Amino acid sequence: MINIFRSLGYASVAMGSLGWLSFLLIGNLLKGPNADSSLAQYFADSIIFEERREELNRTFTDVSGELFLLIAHMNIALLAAAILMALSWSALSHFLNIDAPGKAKIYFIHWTVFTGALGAILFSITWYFTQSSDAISTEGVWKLTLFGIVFYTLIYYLGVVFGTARFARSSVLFANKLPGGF
Amino acid sequence: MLVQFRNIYFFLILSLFLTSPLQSQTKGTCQPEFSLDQYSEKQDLKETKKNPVFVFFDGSLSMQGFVKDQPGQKNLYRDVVDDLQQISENVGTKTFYHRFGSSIESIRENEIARVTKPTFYVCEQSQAKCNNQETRLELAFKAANANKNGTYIIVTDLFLSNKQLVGSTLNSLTTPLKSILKNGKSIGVFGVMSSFNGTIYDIPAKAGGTIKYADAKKRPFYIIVIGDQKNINRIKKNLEEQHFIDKSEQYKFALITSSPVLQNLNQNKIITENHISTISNAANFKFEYSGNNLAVYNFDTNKKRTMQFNVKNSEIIVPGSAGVEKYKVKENLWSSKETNCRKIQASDWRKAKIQKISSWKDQGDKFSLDLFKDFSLDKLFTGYRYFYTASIYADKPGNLSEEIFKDWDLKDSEAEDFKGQNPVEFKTLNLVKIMKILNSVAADMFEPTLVANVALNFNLLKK
Repeated sequence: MINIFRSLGYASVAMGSLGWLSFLLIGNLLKGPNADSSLAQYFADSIIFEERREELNRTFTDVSGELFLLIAHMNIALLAAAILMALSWSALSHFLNIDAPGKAKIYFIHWTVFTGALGAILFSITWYFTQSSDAISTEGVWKLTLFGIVFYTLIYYLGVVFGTARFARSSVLFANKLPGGF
Repeated sequence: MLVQFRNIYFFLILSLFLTSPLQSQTKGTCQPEFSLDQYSEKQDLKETKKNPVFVFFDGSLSMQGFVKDQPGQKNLYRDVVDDLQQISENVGTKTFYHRFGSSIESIRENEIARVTKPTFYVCEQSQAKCNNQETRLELAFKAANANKNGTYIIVTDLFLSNKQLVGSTLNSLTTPLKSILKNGKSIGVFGVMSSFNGTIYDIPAKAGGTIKYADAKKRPFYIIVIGDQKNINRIKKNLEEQHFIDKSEQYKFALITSSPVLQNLNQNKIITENHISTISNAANFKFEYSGNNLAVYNFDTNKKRTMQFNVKNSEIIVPGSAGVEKYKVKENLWSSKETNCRKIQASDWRKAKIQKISSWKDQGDKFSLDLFKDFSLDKLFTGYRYFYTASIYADKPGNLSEEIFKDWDLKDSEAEDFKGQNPVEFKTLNLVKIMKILNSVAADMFEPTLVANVALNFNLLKK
């Protein structure tokens, strides 16, 4: 049990190394749009249907206010999914039936399927949120989807690399490259 | 003293209580501040008083064939001309009769009966002095300009050669017409196919000069009525009831007018909720006429709705007129982030910068405006309230009357060949050309006319 908690601790710290960026982003998004911020500028340039906004003669604040909140909620959902999946794998890895050398590699398939499921969940979350607003441009939808999947998969990956049980590390891509004493 | 204070306090509380809900109602505005073009009264048909009627009979020799019997053929000329005298007297206070050829001369009342007799068209003087050698229609048109309140009826075979439809002769024909149309008058052209037993002169030959033809048994004559639309319609109704109940091929009618728009749909409150099909099914639907008779459709919708504003041609086009070839739609769109009408402030409305939102099409028997076709609802942000206005103008008159008379038209270049076929029914020279001239004069005088103002006031919902 101590090993499981140790795994969860390692996973949490590893995810935290990137996760703080997500917290920072979510915090900024929840604060709402600030016209001078680079985040607002990025939204104006890449995410919002700027041409449509101009045609309808609405201000950036009009359109981006709800959008910032929406993207914040999307990031919270993505972060929660990534953390939950990483911690779940980390805990479950201790219960894998690895009783002979080399058997851990068989569980690489399980890990791949598990990671694939996470990818599908992340995609579904981004798709749901981006489709529920018509202020996001097509380009913005793809950027947010790509960012959501890549960034939160990376957080998850850091979590599982450091959180997977030592005897099961061969089931996770490159996890066996970690120093033996870790 | 205490009682007085108590009364004042009670009064203040009461007035505050009574005025607060009123304020909250008037504070919010469900429409942005805007102004739309209004239909001007002067465009409407004026009530016509009884005024004099001037009748002009074409006295050229070619007309003589209309008053001679042709065995086996029905003579409509005599019947129609007889009734026309009666109709003219009903339309106007006093009727003045004239004969025109190379000049205009008045006819005494006791000589009118002669119009249906061959002797009316015969000239016993020398050819140079006779008034039956040509049809100078422009003289009759010029005369029609003299009394602006009068109704003018011209009976003619409308047989005009190419040389009469070019240069200065054309100018002398079109100038009075422009003036007539500018004064708000219209020109009704009635074509009647009648029996004919005589000679048709001045048929252009290919080699130059003219030839004549005497074997025609039928030929159309025309009654041109210049005056108010109401009088023209009255004459039309009389003629149709008495002679053309079955509206057979023997009769054609076209109305040349600089205002082919029958009415403004807002002024007469013709627009109903049914003008946009299925819109009444929308959530929170309400149709109303707001200030200035603006027809407003209020509703909630999602982005999937398609809307088409349809108006039957019979509701907007003057019957028998050239119709409308082109419409113009002036559009405006406002959006408000606040959707609750009571809470919307005037400053919440922002006017969109969209050039084209909807597009119109003529569907033969009706005008259709496909609302939000070019800038679809899909492009709007959901969760906003939108206010859309469309002002529909008739922008260019049509040319339907040219089509009406196409069957009876004979081109100058084809006249000799046509005569060579020994036709029983002889057509009218340059008829379509004449109609084109009349239509182009009407088009010159035409001013864009406001047909309808329509507004949509809707909440765009996500689902």
